[in-house]
Amino acid sequence: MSSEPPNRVAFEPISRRLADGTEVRLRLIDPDDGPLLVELFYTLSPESIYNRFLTPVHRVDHRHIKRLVDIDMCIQVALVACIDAGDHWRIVGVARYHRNPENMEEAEVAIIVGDPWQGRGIGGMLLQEIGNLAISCGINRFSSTVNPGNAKLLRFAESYGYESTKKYEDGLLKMETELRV
Amino acid sequence: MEEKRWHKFYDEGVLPSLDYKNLTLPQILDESAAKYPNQTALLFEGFSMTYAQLKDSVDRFATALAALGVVKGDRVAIQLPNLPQCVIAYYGVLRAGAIAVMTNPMYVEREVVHQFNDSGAKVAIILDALWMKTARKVRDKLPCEHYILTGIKDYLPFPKNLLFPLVAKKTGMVVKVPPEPGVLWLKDLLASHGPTPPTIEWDMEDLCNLQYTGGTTGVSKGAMLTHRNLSCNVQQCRAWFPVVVDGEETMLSALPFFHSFGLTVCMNLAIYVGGAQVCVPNPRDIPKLVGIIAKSKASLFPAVPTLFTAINEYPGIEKNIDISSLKGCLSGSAPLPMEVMEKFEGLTGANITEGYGLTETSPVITANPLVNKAHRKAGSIGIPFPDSEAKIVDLETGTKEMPVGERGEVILHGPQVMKGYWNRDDETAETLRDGWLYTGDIGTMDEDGFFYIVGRKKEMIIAGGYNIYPREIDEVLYEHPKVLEAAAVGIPHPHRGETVKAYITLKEGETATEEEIIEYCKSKLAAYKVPKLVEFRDELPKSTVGKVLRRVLKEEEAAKAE
Repeated sequence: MSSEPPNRVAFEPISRRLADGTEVRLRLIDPDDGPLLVELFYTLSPESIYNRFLTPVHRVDHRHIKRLVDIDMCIQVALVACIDAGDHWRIVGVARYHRNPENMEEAEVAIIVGDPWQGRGIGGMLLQEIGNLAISCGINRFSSTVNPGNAKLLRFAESYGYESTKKYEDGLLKMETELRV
Repeated sequence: MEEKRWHKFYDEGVLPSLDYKNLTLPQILDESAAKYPNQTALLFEGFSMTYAQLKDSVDRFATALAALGVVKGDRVAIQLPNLPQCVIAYYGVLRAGAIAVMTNPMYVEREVVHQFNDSGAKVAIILDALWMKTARKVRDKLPCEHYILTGIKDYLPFPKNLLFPLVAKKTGMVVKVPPEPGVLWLKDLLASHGPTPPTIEWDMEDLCNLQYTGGTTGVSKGAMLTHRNLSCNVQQCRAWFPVVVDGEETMLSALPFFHSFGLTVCMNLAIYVGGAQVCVPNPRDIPKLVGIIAKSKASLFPAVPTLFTAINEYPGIEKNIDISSLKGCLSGSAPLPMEVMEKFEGLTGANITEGYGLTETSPVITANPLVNKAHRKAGSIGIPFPDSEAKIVDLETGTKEMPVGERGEVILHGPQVMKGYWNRDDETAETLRDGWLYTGDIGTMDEDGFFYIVGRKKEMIIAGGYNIYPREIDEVLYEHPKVLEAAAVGIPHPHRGETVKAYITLKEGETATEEEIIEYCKSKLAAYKVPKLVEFRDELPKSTVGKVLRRVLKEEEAAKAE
């Protein structure tokens, strides 16, 4: 187990293209991203919301939004995927991890992509980059608590080569994935 | 059927494979009416009806439905408590070739709107009081062309029928129904139509019921049960009860008919064995219930642990009230504690067995042996029924059978397993794979082939025998204008197995009381889903990335109980 306190991560924004040519920019989340997260929230279907928060959140909690954007970038790290919406680059997806305070080599991970942009490879990009970032920071395992009914996510994780051990606990699926360089 | 490890534990006379009668439920009624025309079929508060009369009413009702334009495959909703009318309506709907959509009388407007629309019910048969309380208020949102009403007093004998409005005034069961287009009365239809329904070309694979059950998405879905499913299950239940004597039993029908358990093991089983059945619309009235057992000399009593416990604890039950007529009982829907079983057997001399099933399995698929007490196991849901199989498979892929004693998902196979979910191909594909039903229950099997349930794959609460998905309650709570966050959790309850508790955080500056939240839920949810307890929190427990952790709430509750 690492005893060194982790440093703030470094991530240079990158630009990628989806299969249809759309440009996607990936960068670290910014404390000013609150309004963009609210904008993303309103593109989420009830299913997507439930799968991400495990509760059918109906309205935005600004305290919660603040907690999602105002992070230290060492214990908690979040990447956002943005696409050009004309007047601004809107956030269409977020991947984040939070290190386990008792074992800093392990982190809980979560990914969300707005419904209009699902199935286009954005989730895969985010997963790959957040995985690389985690590995570079000495994290070797991702864990995630998943709605077992979220078949889409389970197929997605498998298709990106994330072989996970799965354990059912109290009606939820606990997934653990070893990260490889 | 090939030899299974559990077959050697079957009671004497119970065969591993049955020679099924290829009869739909209405044909089963015909058979009983032919064999026992003058035998009592239905009993209710002093009213009684023979099998010949029941068949006559069923045929008249089917004729009336056909005259209203109901044809084979139409859906017809039935929202009635356990009354003679419910039996007439159900068999009448089936006789007309329609598919019955059994609807919980406790449903509130939101739930009725969903179920009637999801099933596409063309006609609905509703208790008059429920019509006024619920369906009528949302009639413009319902797809039905006709509503057929009936009142409790319609099948009360003289003078109870005349006294009913006085006696029941305070219960909300006495209503004045304004005449409206499309609203008809059952008793008028029976009087104005002859017992000459059109002949239906039956196929055992035709749908018989859309039996609604909760869903993880918070919306209930209709399990498609065929005539084969329900006919086989009633025949399997009959086979499991070797103590039953055809034509001589009295069934205490205290489990609701709208629920698959009461439907098969009370209503349909009673008719299959040509027995009398006592319709009990309110089994929670324990003094009345034990009085009915004593008076009717009921011999069969399928029930839930809550009822057995309540009877065990009823004052004077050991000395003053004779309920020794009971001889066969089936307990389901929640684990039956051994001490409850033994005390009830001591009181009555009956054999009581614990079974297991799902709406999707019509419902019974495993049970402990009824007669040979040495062959039943405490804490087990028993062994598979004739022609039925259960297996434990790995939780991840569901493809590898687990060794004896190891945990996995319970999967089931048999002639009582549903065809799928109505208009929900994705959920059907997830649940039915290669002819096996994936239950979402986590269980184990011992070396004798007895099964045990140890957990659930899905977040679900089982309270008083009802499956409740927390998401449905959450959705309702989130609609409350003061609620910021909510999570419903099942917490242990001595009689109901679990009960619903809601944890709530309020929006900034808002205040609310427990009563206020409960009252609000009552307007949106059937009573069994309404939280019995509400706790307000500054925040709900969440994982580091913000996922709500119900587990933590349950653990806190468990710690409090210790």
